[in-house]
Amino acid sequence: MNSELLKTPLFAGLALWAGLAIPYVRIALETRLTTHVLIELLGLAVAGYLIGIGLRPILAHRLRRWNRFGLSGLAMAISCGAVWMLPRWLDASLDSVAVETAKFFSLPLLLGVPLALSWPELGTIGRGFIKTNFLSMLLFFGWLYIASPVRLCNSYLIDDQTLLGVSFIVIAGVLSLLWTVPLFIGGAVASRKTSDRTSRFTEDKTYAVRPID
Amino acid sequence: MRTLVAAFLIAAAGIAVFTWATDGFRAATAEGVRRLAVSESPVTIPGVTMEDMDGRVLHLPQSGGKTLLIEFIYTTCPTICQDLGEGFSQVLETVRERKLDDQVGLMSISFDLENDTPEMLRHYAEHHGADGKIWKVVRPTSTSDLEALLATFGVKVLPDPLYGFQHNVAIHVVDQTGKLARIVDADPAVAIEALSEKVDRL
Repeated sequence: MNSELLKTPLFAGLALWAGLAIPYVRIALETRLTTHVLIELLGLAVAGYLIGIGLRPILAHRLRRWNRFGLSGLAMAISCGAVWMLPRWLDASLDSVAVETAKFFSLPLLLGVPLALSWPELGTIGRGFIKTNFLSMLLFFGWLYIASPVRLCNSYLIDDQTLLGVSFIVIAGVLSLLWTVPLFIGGAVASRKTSDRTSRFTEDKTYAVRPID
Repeated sequence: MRTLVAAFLIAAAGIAVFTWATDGFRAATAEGVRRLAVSESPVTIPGVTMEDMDGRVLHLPQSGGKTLLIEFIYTTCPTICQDLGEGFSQVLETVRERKLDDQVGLMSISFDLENDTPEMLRHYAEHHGADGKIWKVVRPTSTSDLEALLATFGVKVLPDPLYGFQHNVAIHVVDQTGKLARIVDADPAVAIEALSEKVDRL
């Protein structure tokens, strides 16, 4: 059990989480909207995801009956993500210690960890659904941040908002290529790689021998 | 089955939190939050001392029970604050036409204490037709008064490397009792409509 806990992703996640919480780093990232969202918020979610990968061996099978097809975990991750997409809470996190603290705990624990625990439970259709929705969300917010004549965050300059919008569009473009190109060239290779990666992180053979993936 | 129950409960909790986090789907931005907050419970504005374009001292809240429309500006602003001035001059015209001089006041408050001397205030006033009676262009006399004003009104002023400042733009309605009661878009038609809720003859 202990040696399972010492898996690298868990520690990478904890280190990333701690690193983002260093006051100097935090303040530096929060001076610009783009770094606040793309490095801090995304970093917190990724930290939680890595921690979740580390926790899979001890948690995934215990939660499975409560989290078939990853439904419960996804509901939690989507709820958490929806709140932090509201510009008002980004503004509020700059002015309120309580909101800032909530941000630093909820994004890893209520978004990253449940997503990591649920992703292997999802079938191809579920994953496709999440990915396409994520892409359309990025494009929508990208367009909104570029086109809005008013600032959506009172604490950030309008140029920064435009830059974040452009970044969202670019990220959506890159992700859609990454997710679709393998379908046209060597789809079998891509799917084998995915199951390899899953089993390597979890050491749980049930993922590797799942019939549909 | 267990999954369905768990997922349902989590989704319900998520929707409840999201509803709370948007004040019932009414405010997604900090600007929306401050507008909603004052319309639901008007805020008493702090007592501050200001000087106008002629160097005359005046106090806020004003005695005399006028409804005040307030904008925050800096006179060296190349864009929005000049539009604000144009908008206010249209409101001034309406106020004059309907002879509401004794009931309505307009106030452009500069937050750039460093550059906006009374001469600069007068320049802005003359450029946009502020008469100094119904429409006054003023600045707080101290930094602490300025900060108290900005905090109460919920105005954030950010230094901008290119243009000087960026700030949230709106028209603030302060009622006869000295309370900030409405915050609306900086559009003369919208401002007049907001005024009509406070002033009978409009």
